[in-house]
Amino acid sequence: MILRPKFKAKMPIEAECISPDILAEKRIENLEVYHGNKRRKLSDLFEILDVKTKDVRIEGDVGNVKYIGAKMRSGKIIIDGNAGMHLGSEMEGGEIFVEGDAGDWVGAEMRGGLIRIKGNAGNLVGAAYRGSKVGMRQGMIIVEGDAGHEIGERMKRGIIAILGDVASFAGAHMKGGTILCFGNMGERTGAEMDRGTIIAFNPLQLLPTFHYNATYNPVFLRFCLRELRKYDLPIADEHITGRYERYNGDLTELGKGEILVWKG
Amino acid sequence: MQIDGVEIEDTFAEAFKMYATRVLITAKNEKWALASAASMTGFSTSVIMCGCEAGIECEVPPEETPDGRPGTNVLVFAVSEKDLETQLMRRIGQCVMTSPTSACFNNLEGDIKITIGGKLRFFGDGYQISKLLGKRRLWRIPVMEGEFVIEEKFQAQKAVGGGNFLILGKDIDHVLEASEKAVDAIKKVRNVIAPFPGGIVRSGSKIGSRYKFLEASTNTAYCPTLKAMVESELPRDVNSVLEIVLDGLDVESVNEAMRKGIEAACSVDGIIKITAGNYGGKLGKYLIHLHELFGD
Repeated sequence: MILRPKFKAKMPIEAECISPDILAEKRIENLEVYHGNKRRKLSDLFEILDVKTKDVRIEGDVGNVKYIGAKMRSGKIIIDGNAGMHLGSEMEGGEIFVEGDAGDWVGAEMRGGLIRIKGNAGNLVGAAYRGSKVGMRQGMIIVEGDAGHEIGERMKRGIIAILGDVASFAGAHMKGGTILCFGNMGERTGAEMDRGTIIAFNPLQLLPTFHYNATYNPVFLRFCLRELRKYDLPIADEHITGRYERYNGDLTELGKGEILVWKG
Repeated sequence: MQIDGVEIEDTFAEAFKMYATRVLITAKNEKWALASAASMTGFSTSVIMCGCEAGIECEVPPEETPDGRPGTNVLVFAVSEKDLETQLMRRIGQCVMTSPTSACFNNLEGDIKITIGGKLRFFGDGYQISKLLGKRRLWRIPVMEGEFVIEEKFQAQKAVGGGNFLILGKDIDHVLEASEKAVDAIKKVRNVIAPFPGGIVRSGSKIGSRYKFLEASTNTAYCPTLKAMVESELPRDVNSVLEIVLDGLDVESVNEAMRKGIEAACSVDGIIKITAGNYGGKLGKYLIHLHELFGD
């Protein structure tokens, strides 16, 4: 299915119905979205073509459209431009590819599937919604550009890979899962994390509540990185065979989280 | 029927249903992957006394292992799922986890799942760490050397145990040479192991004994030194017999291994006859007829 935006308004749109499951199961003419505080038909805002194909391609910029692919279970969404906030939030399966940038809350409380952003992502990638105890539970998010603050906040399982830089508080309150950053990591990385793994391929400023344990070549990481190579990430042989400094923390909390810093 | 002038007896090997898994052990180099695998497969010639039958299937190059290090595939066979679990727990816990730089992965897609890493993890005393990658969960257990990584579950399947053939020859030198050639040929077949020392058995058994406390005893019909004392199956000119016992993940692999092993054995001078061990076809699920292996 192809969706072509017909709108130019800056008013945000909430379009949870843009999901391969919903588009396949329900009558398209009945699908509604919120445009500002008004209910509109999906077909009022998008030109809908090739309806028999389950996978969805959005041809255009939908940077002001929220909740695309939210709760989706299967299929594929390809967005040729930018994507709005809450992209793939709570998704359980399937794949979302964004050619441009994405807003905040990408893959928030995600339960499975793959999200890949070619550009930058906003804050709170894979995070828990405010008041919720657990963020991302499974799946994978890859951001080829930079990401904002609090990525992986309260995440429990799954993988977030940022090829560029990340801002502050990455992995805050983390309970499990893995964050990889190929660029630079901001301040207070891993703040109040209980468990989970943050892998930094560049030196970073660590909180004083993280303690050094050892320098070694983690076997599990060899396995992990070799698997991630299948996703065309810039993983060099030196990343796989190299040594990492292991710091555990955050000692203000359980202290069983870890930050692995690549030393080459 | 003859191969290279060696008589192939018109009989069959009687094989049994077993349960099997494939464990991939990786390590810093081939030496330590093999050392760990050798330790894990020690004292595992027969389920009768060892609890399982295990052997090294093959070495695995680094590019084919999950962690990119050299590996060794080990096949383990037991008579029940429970026995398989017990043996894996003991052998991985005592022989692989203890081995420097080792890691241990499931390397079989089977319909039976056995939790091993999920239990061994408790050795980590609360400091063990789980990593879920796709559908595979690994456990990282802190050890003095660094970390032992093991997969949570190993998969198993129904398999075949007890494929066999006997090599009859004019003396031990020729029979041993033929047996060694047979084992070398069998090693090239995947999914199969020959669990006895060097892949060869010299003390084949029969069911029962004159002693009530013994369930099996020496295979008198094939003991050359008893030829004139018992109802012997050995021709007059046979002075030594060795047996090759095979376990395989499926009967097709066992058939192929037997075929290649017999062909290799028959290429040696001094071999007089090839036969196989069975129980009249009453006990085993699989009857592997020697002539059928060669399309006869």
